[in-house]
Amino acid sequence: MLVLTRKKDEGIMIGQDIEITVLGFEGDKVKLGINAPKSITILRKEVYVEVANANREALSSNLPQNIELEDLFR
Amino acid sequence: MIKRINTSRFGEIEFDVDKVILFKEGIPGLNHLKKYILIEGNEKSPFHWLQSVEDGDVALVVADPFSFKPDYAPFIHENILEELEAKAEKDLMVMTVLVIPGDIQKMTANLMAPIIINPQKRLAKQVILDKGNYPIRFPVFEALKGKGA
Repeated sequence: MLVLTRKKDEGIMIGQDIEITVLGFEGDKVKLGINAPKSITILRKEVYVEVANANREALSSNLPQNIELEDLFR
Repeated sequence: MIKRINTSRFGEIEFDVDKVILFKEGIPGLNHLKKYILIEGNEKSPFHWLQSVEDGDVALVVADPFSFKPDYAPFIHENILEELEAKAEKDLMVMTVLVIPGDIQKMTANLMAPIIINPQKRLAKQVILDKGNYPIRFPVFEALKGKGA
């Protein structure tokens, strides 16, 4: 992992389109500003991790054979 | 060309390589797997399987989210259309991944991250929606009850 030290109001560029600025600090929180093309999805990492967890959990889904369930959907 | 794979759900199955759906980035948590086939349930069934053709143990139950959440409206950025080589949103199929535990009443659907498929080009992506506030674990049965089903 690349590690950079930045001060308040300093930023980093990722490629030419993505700019991340350190806006400030509040206690143990860092406030970041992000400029990126609309096409780039920006997520809090825990959201991505949760989706990954849900996908892995879905691998053990069981679909019962006697599906009255199907009727429920209609 | 017809290929074969041993799967834990369906035993040995044959599939047409032309029918393989490509997830260029894989899906979160299973990023190393890119190729799936859609095994459709019978005509009446809302359930389908996305079966990996690279790992026979990997299969996900997916369903049409509109069947239990008629007002579902995932926002598809035009960039995703481009990525999936689709001209319009109507060319795309929307599926939701289900988590079905032993107690089926506790089944949930991931409405935050729908699987978007372009059936024509056989390209797909699991899109994590940053708008709309849809849950990762949407309780399907509660919604059905609410519908009066």
